[in-house]
Amino acid sequence: MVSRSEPGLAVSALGHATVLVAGLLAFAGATPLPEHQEAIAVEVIDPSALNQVTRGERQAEKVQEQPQQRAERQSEIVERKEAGEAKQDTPAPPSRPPELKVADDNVAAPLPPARPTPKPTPPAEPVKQPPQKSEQAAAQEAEQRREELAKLAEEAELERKAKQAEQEAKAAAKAKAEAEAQAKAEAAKAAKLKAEAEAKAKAEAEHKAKLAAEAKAKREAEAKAKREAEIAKNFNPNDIAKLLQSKEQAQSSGSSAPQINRTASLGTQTGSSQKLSPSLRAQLMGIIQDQLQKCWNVPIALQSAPKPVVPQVRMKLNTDGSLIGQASVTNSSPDPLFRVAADSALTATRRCSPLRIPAQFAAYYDDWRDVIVNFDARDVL
Amino acid sequence: MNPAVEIAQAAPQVDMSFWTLFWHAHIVVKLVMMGLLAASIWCWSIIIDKTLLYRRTRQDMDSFEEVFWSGRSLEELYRDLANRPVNDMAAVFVAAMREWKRSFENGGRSVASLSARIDKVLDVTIQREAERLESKLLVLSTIASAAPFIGLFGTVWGIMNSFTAIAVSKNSSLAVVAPGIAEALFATAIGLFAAIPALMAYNKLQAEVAKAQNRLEAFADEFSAILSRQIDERLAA
Repeated sequence: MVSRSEPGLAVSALGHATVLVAGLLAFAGATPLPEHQEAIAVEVIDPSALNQVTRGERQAEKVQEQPQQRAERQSEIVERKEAGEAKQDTPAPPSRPPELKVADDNVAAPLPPARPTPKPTPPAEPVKQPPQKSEQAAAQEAEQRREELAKLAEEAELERKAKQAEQEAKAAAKAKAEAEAQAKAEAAKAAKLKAEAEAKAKAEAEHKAKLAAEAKAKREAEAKAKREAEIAKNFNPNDIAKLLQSKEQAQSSGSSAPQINRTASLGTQTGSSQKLSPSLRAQLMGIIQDQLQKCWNVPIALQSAPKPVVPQVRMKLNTDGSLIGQASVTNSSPDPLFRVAADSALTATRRCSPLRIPAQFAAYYDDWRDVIVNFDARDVL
Repeated sequence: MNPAVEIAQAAPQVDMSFWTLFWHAHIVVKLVMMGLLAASIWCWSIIIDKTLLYRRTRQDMDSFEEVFWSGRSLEELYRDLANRPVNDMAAVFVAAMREWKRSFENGGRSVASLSARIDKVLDVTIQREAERLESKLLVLSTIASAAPFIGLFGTVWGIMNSFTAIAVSKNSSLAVVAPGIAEALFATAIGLFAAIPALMAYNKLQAEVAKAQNRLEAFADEFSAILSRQIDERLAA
């Protein structure tokens, strides 16, 4: 089919094959997109996290990185947690630092650090004397030194005497020898004088220090006595209570949490940490409604009423589920049946008190201490 | 075992070469792709052939006109050309001359409407030549208009197919959806790859044909004027 005048097919096929091969080589793989970066960091908060919004303060200076409940005292270790959660916060295990080598690396295990060669224990250095040592010790020391100096002086005297005797013996001999002896004697004399001066200076310094210490102690004692005297002068028996109070440990009725946290984070003042989650709330309302409906004698007229009459009863509850004061009806209706229904509902609340609230809801008392319950006759039937 | 090898095996190999795109596509999409590729090959073969043909035609016309206007005897020229297959201008010339010769061979009895007959013959020959030049250009036009639609059909089918796959597997993450859609879009890409050159070449070649036809007609008019002058001279003689 390939003719010389019409080479189109062959050339075209060849061209397409070339293009395909080039495409296969050039577009062998897709280059991955550059790493996606969020324009605005968005944090997703699930309902349970929203329920656990911690209380903050509008006047707080800054938002804390990890807001914690404001707490002035440390609570007991046992914390009230939602059912199903761990009772305690276990600290996260320490993560392995990246520079640590992995065990299965083919690297020889590092040698244990060489055991330090036992050094010859240095002789225990005499503890330096504090500048103000006890008076007695200072006196003793001074005495000792003085004795030593006296000994030295005595020795020097003896020597001198011996030398003088020698000089006298030798004086008759040679003038040269005499001159020599004289020079020697003079040198010895100078040495003696020097030693004496030194000893004297030392003793004097010692004495001065002692005097200063004594003076200081005296001054302090005087000041203390003066203060006490002053206090005694100002003593007022009416202040006893105040004095006693100020000596006591600081008390507070502040909140408590596992960690003490004195700085509040920004947030709403009305937000509270322990809130019923929607599902728990529904569960609790169901429990309360169930109990109330069992106590409720539904008026006969209500059961056959053409229009539903639903009184809403507001109850204030104690922690044990008992009623505080009287329950009250919050809504109203012109329906003549309403009065009857409301009265029967209030009777039911009295009859049911105390309500049995499961223990798991005890932590959320703030959330259910003031509940409003609908008394709907249709639910009972 | 070497952990690197394990990781390489675990990670899905993302290979998006032409071959992968083709090989993972649905059979219908595959057929569409292959058809479009064949269409592209065909259309390029036509483009190449026609381009060569038109260049040759132009050269032939130039050389023939040179010979024709060189003052050579037309009889002689006719004798040269009559024995071999000829194209375009030469064919027009030969057709008109043949009619002329035939009319005078029979003792000049049918000379009265010879001019009209020659015009007819010229028209027919030009028509035939133009047809020869124009042949297969329609294929280009068809490919240019139909290939995008065929490619689109492949794409729609591929996307439909990948959506049904999503529905069955109940997993709609982009990593699962993307390869199927990329494969499907590849069909449209091939369609456009075939259609764009076809459209451009069709327009260009169409213009070339029109130009050649105009030239042939101009020559035919001139030649017809020469012949009619000859006829009138002979009739008057």
